[in-house]
Amino acid sequence: MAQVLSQAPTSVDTEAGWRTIWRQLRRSPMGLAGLCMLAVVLFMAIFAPWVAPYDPYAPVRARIDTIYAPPSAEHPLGTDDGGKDVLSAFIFGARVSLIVGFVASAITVLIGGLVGIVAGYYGGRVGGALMGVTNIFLVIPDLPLYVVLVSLLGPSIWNIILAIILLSWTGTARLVYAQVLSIRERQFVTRARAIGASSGYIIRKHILPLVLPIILAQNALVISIAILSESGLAFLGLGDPSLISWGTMLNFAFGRGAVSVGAWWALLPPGLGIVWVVLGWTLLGYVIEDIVNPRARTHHLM
Amino acid sequence: MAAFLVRRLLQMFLVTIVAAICSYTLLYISPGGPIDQLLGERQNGGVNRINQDDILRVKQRFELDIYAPVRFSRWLIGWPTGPILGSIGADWTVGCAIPGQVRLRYPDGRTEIVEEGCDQPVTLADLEGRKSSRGVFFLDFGVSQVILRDRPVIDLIGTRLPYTLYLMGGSTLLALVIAVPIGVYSAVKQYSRFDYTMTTIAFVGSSLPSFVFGIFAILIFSVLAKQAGLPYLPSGDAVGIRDYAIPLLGTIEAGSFFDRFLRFLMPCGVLTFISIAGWSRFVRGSMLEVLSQDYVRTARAKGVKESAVVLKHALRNSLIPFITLLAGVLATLFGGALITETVFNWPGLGRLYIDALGRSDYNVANALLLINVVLLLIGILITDILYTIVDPRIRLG
Repeated sequence: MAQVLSQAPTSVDTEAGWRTIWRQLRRSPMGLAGLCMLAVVLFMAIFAPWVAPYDPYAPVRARIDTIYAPPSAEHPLGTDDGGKDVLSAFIFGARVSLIVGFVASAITVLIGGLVGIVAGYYGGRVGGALMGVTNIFLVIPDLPLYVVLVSLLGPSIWNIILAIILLSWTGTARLVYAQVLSIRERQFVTRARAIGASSGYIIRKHILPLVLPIILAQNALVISIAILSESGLAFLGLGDPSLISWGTMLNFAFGRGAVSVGAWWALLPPGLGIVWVVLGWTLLGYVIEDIVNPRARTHHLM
Repeated sequence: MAAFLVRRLLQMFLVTIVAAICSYTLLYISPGGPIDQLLGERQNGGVNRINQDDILRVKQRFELDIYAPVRFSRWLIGWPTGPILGSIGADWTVGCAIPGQVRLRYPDGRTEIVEEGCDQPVTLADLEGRKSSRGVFFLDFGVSQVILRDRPVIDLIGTRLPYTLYLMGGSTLLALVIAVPIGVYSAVKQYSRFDYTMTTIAFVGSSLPSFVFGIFAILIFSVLAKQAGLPYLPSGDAVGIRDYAIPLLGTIEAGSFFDRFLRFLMPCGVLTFISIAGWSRFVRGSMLEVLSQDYVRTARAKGVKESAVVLKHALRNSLIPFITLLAGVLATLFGGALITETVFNWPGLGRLYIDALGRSDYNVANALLLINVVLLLIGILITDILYTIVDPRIRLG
């Protein structure tokens, strides 16, 4: 409800708006921390083949002394249950997390934003129907549904992304819907309509610029949720079997006795990796939301 | 109020039916069902030859030989159990036990066997002798198909429920007791060192998935502590099987209260911490909002003691939005924590659900999913009603 009551940002000048966001982001220590954390992961993901000492996808002949070998000069983070280098797998694992995060959130936000704007602008029956669907999705418990969906579709990375989109677009739609409802009643929209501007023009020129920053903040949040969901599913054994992700690394290490032999080097890096990247996005999302929509602050971190 | 309740109950009923249809369909069309498992065994093993009779038997146990709509209706309301009213439609086909096979011969000489039509249909009369539940609708969830074969699902849930209840109940209570004071204090002392520390912890906590936290906890408190010769915590299960010795604490008898308590500590701690991280921020936020209200300033101006202002005037109102969060608690109390229970091998309902899915025990999985949805709906209803009680300005309508 607070979303409807809250004031949308007043600046209609988009160019200056973006620059303000960027400036404030750089000035906030939290935002800067988030940016730096993500820059590290992004670098690691993009340059994985050059940064990683070994190719984690290459088959390795495991010997009894190379399984769960502790960190050494040869393997800075030791080896895993298959005698493979943990550091290389860790570096390549960043790719999966980021791809899932980016693709899932981009499509989620696109669909959610579109539906939210259409339902909010045209209101009435469309809005009612949208909220009805959203309410049903809100009632169904997330994680059990994820598990069912992914085992139904088959555990490939694209299916995991699809499941994440299916379950998270309604949240964005709801948020945007509430915003558009309040913007629609503002005077400049009424005036534009009185002059004779078409709906498409009003949406493009008046509503979109005001909603976009909120969508941007939501995007960071959706990314962190998507990464959490992917790693959770992978930990439960529903990850893409052909890819190395932090979740599957944890799943294999946990399921194959890394805990009982005390092989912390196989567990800590993927675990910390997940926390690192999610924390980065959460910080970034929090700061952006704080800038574009200060009143909605309390709704964060639920 | 009455009209509101009636409308809401009707709405809840509809949503439940839709959710039931969705979950039932999703589960039954997912691949890797019991027949696939059986055929897989035949291909792999070769020792236990599986013939048509075995497949028929498995199909019958899972009711896979009955068409989906009829099967669904039998599951939902326990009908039809035989010919309607004892005699009507005894020969109506409601399913197919053995599908017909057609050999296709392609022009290039390849042949392929395709299932087409039905060799041996199942009629309503065939259903008469079969075991069937009274229907989910009448609170009979049928029998477990795999995990505890042919025992009622309710029994299975009953044996697991206490574990989930006291894990979730314990951690929720603990989190409430800790999170509310933290939130209040952070708000009162906004931007103090305490506030910044708690904010940092909350951010890390909200980015920390329960399985990562759980694994780290096991690693530190069980494995590394044990290696270092310090007192350690058992790493999994709710009850021990054998007695074990812990440095400084002596021998611990398996199944004793102390044994259960030690095993309870870690999963409870993980769940509590994660709840605290979110809830304390929430309380802080709404507390800040209330503290800046006019009536709080008035109270201060009148000379009311600061502690009374915070605890009486502000806290009460700031907890109103908090009720929304607690709506989900009812469902999580029952649904348990899927991932945390898996990490700590905790025999609760969350792990039962994962097991049921993995071993295609559809009746169990369906029952759990449905109960969860209903509880969530009830939770939302209770929240709405609670809102009107704590905030008389809100009217139901």
